[in-house]
This record gives sequence, C-alpha cells and structure tokens, in this order.
Amino acid sequence: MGIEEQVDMRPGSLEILRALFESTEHERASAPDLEAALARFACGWATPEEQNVVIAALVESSPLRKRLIEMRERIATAEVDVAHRVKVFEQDPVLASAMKSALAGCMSVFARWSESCRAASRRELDAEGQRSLGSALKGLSHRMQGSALVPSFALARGASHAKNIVIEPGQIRANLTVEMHEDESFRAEATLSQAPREPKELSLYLVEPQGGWVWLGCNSVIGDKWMLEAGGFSALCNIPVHSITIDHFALAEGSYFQPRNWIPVWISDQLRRSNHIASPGKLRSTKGPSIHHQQLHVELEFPEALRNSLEGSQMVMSVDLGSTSFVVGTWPVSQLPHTKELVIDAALPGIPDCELEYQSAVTLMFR
Amino acid sequence: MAVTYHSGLVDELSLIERFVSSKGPQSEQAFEELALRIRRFLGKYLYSYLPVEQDREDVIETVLHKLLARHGSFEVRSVGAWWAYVATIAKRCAYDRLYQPHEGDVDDEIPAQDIEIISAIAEFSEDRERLYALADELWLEADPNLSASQKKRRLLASQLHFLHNVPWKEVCAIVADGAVPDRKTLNAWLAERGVLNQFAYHCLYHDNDALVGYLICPASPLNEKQLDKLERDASRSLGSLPEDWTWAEIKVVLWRYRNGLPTTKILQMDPTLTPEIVERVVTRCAERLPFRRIAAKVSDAISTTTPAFDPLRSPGLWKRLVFQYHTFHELPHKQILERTEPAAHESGFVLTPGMLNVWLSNGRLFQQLASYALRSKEDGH
Repeated sequence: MGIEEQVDMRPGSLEILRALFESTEHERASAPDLEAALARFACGWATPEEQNVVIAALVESSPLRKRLIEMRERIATAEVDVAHRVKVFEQDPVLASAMKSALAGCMSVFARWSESCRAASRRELDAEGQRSLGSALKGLSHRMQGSALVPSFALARGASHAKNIVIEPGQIRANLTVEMHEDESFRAEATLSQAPREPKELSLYLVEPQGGWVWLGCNSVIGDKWMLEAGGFSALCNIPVHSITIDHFALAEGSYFQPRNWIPVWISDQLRRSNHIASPGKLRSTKGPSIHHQQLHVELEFPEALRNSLEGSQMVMSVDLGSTSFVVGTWPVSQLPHTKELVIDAALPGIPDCELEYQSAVTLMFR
Repeated sequence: MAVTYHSGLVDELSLIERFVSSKGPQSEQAFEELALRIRRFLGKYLYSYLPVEQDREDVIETVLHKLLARHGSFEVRSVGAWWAYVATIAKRCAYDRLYQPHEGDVDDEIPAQDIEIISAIAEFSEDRERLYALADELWLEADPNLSASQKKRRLLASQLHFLHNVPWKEVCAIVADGAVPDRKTLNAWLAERGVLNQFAYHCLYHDNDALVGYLICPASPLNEKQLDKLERDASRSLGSLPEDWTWAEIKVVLWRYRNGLPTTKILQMDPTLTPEIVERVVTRCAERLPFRRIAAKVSDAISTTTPAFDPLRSPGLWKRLVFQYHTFHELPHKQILERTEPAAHESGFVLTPGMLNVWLSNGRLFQQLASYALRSKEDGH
C-alpha cells in the first residue's frame, strides 16, 4: 500500500501504457434522482444496494450531505404528525413517503413476527409450563424494564460472552448458537451448564451496538436445553440479516411477554423542571395498543393531577422499532379531553391490522 | 475484502483468443467487440504521430483491416503482447501515411517485463472504477483490504465530522454497515492516513462542472442541467445571462473550464473573441478559484483532531489530483496547475510545471501506477 516503486520502461512501452490509461472508458456519471433513496437511507430503511448508491453519491456531494443531515434532524425531532398530515409531511413529501413506507414495513413484520414467536413458545409448553409462565409473567415485566435490563445485557453482550452466557451468576452458564436463515427466520439453541432447579424461562434479544435492543422471544428451559425459533426479525433493527453476528444476541433470564397494560411515559427535563413534576414512568393502558383500520389505537388511564401538571405541553406518541423511533402523532395537552381515560387514535396509512405485543412498542412523551 | 481483479482481463484475453483461434462468425463477433477498444486505444496512441484527426481515423481503419487480414498470425501469450502487437502495426501504418522510413524504430521489441506491466494495466484500464481505486491505494494510501463500500463509509464519516460538524453518535449511525461503530472506532478511522488523504482529496478535487458552476455563480453554483442550458443559450447569445457576465465571457468560461480547451482553440472556436477577452476572463476566474481557501479549511479541520499528520503535505495527494485531472478530464498542464498549485502552495507543498512535466510527460505517474498494479496482482489483491 502506498509504496511508489516503479520500473524504467522503454519509451515504446510507455507510449502504449499511456494510451491504455488515456483510453480508459469514462462513463459520464448520470445524476439519478436520489431524493427518494436518500430519504429511505435517512430512515434506516434502505437496502444494502441502495445504501451503496446513496453513500457513493454522498461522498461526492456536499449539498446532498446537507440534505441528509436535514432529513435526519427532521426524523429525530419528529415534528411529524401522521394523524393530522401536517407540517413535515406536507413540507417534505419525499421524506414523509419514506417514513410511512418504513413504518408500514416494520409494522407488517411486527405482526408476522409476534405471531411466530407465540407459536414457537406454545409448542414447547405443556399445561404446567403455561401455569409457570403465567406466574412468572406477573413479576417479570417490571424486571425487564429500564435499568434493570441493562445489567442482564452487560453480562450477555460482547464476543467473549456471546457464546458462553451467564444465566445465574456463579452457577448456570449457557452456550448459545443462533442459526439465521435467508428468509430472516432464525433458530436459537442453548445448552445450559446444568439443568435449573426451578422452571426457568430465557428470552433472546437482539442488541444493537449503540444500545437499542429488540426482544426476539422467550421459551422455557427443558432439562438443560433451550430453543427458540422465529422469523422476520431483522426489519426491526437497522442491521441487515447477513450482517448480524452472534455478538448481536443476548440471552437473559425471564420473559418479556408483557401484559400490554402499561405504556412508558417520558417527560422532558425542561418540562419537569419548569412544572416541578416527577415522571410517572408509565401509564396503565386499558386497551391496545392495536392497529385496526389503519389507526393505531390506545386507551389509557390519565390521572387528572398529571394532566393538570402537564398543561401547556405537547403529547407526542411514538412507535419504537428497535432503536428507531417513529412519531405517529402530536397533541397539545390543552386539547385532550378532561376524562379519566384517554383514547388515542393515530392514523397509520397502509399498515395492516395487528395487535402490538410489546409495551415498549408505543411510548408517550410530554415536552 | 479484497478487490476482484481477474474478470476484465479474462474477458479481453478470451476475446483475443476467440478472434485469433476461431473461424467464421465467432471470430468476427470477437473482432467487432475488440474493435471498439482498439479504436479508443489507437485514438490516443497515434495522437503524437498524427495530430490531424482525419489522418488518425484513416490509419485506424487500415490497422483494423490488417489485423483482420492477419487473423491467426498472432500468437496469444498475454493481453500486453496483444496491445504491443496492435501498437506496432499502427506505428508502421502511421509512418507509411507520413511517407517516412521506419526501419529500426518500429521493430523496437517490447521487453517481457514491460509486456507484463502493460498486461496488468490493460485490465484496469477497462474499468475506470478499479483503475481509480488502485490510484487511491497507491497515492492516497487507501486500505486495499477494505471493500469499496467500507472505504466510502469511512470517507463519509470524515466528511460529516470535519466539514459538517455532525455529532459523533449521529456520524456512527449514518455510516453503520450493520454494526454501528463506537466512538473509539470512529476516532481510529478519523486518524487513519488513508481516510485523511481521501478526505483531503475529495475536498480539493472539483470536476469540471462543479468548478464552472461555482466560477459563474459562487453564491449558488449552477448544476449540470443549468450549465447545459447556459451552453445552449451562449451559442445563440440568447436567454438569461448570469449576473456580471457577458455572453462572450460565458463562452470562454465554459470552453476553458468545462471543456478544458486552451486559449488557441477557444479563439478558433469563435473568431469574435480576442486574446484580451480570454485573458480577462481567465484572470477573473483565477481570483475566484476556491482551492486555496479549501486547503486552508481542510488544514484547520484536520489539525484539531490529528495534528500529527497533514495530508496536504503528502506528495501522494497531489499526484492523485494531477492524475485525475490528466486522465479523466484530459486537461492541459497549465490548467492542471491552476487547480492544484494554489492549494499546494497554501499547504507548503511545492508543485511546479517541471514536476508536472516529469509526472505526466515523462510518464512517471503511469509507471508508478502500472508497477503497483502488477505488484497488487502478484500479491493477489
């Protein structure tokens, strides 16, 4: 690399060499309409081939890089209101179209994927197992929330742990193998260092290096063996299926079969400081989240005291897919009805009907 | 991921074999495909022997007839030997055309080592992307073990970081190829000599349209479509004239900086133009050339994070730029210097017409790249 050695060629040879260089075919680069591809790239929804085309264009063009940065800022700040079709979508139809398409794609995968996870788990559970599962679920949903989850991942992440995972510190370890297939389905198997004394469930997660994670499913340990099969998962993260390695997987104790009755809530620092309120962390949902007739539907309890403390702010609802968050609606709190139960509907055009299995799929933020 | 090197060569070699060894339609079809490449090659090769285009075209036709007539007499050893064979026939025909004796000169045999190098570069010259990737490896120290996509992602990371001040997390998210790089990885990329050289190169290199668009309207550079329209308008001196320019001046700018024409050719193209007008436009454009300012900006941006290495002082950077302007844009030496010397001077690198002459006229750059191509091939990259 970079060593400028050369031989002394005869003048006649050099003439031939020069002519070969100078007669190299130069295709005049055409300028295809990259806008749509750039928008999909900005959403993290471009195919590998499309990524290469976009990146090749980006390194050549400063205006295109500025446009990408602008798109990413719009997605991140997400003043995108699908429900009311305002602002960004009207101002930036290309980006809006890419975001809707990405969202629709993710959601359809979501529906297929959750069904296959459930089926995979059911196959392995007898009546006793199901009772154990039900019992375990009661306490587990809290354990898997927020910071409690992080230490579990810390144990399981990284190359050195990926194949030899600590299930119970000092006692049980597991060797995990994950076989991924071209159709984006996978089969994960683990052999534990010893059979657990009590019924135990393990969940498999896909962990993105930047910190995002996706729950892939759970299953009971039978003897010292554990297995999980599911399909269509890579669309939930920004990692193409062929790029996923064993290092992206984490195995942790417990189930994440959430009861779908809590919606995570975030309140911006500024709002908390100015209104002197503590974030409730979550709100109990009484129905949903679900998608029917291209509407995301959630019903949740919304205490009057909280509502009053949030007066003047905006409520933003987002759907979180892996580490990508899509805002699907914004509402001024002042315009929300003064009822104990809040019913939220956000339009999600083009998305098939499904029940969202995951409480973290929908998040509310007040700012 | 290593670059795949062999398909182009095999194609050309198999075409030559089919032409030489087969009979009837198979041989004719192979020759038809080869003829396109031969025309391009001889168009350049014969230039110094036959400066008049019509003479070159006549000789090229004669060479093609001779090749067809001697079908089967060439012994297929390598692609390099083939081009040496074509060149020898062409040189004889050129001397015949000029009624000049050519004994001795034409029969100057090409040494086996040179044939090998010509073979190596013949393969790359069929595919400009590979040729330029090779040039990047040689002069910009681009890592030959990375795929084109990986190289571009690192380059993009450097541009987002140094030019657009994008926060590191966002840079990592944008350039992620499956796995998202962490900060340590990003920092390592931003300190790589290959990445920094390519970053500096991409800042300084302006293709003709980008440069002309900027020179005519620095505040809002014209794009390719706008330049096409302007060119059409200028030929009729009709249409919307950019501010502060006359149609005569616009013609000069377009012909000189978009088409790389020298002053003599410009004056031939439009007899109403005078040397004074051309000189005035060139002086005005020289003041607007952005390269000195860009060099200062690149230097500032890089020095904050990687003070130990300054790509602008690396001879490889300037060689790569000169190679690009020469082979891709076919610019005369004077114009290549206009696009490189001010920035080199700003960076403390001395670039002179003499150096350019050695690099280009004496074939130093071509030989360096050819040697590198041969070595890469031998190394199996």
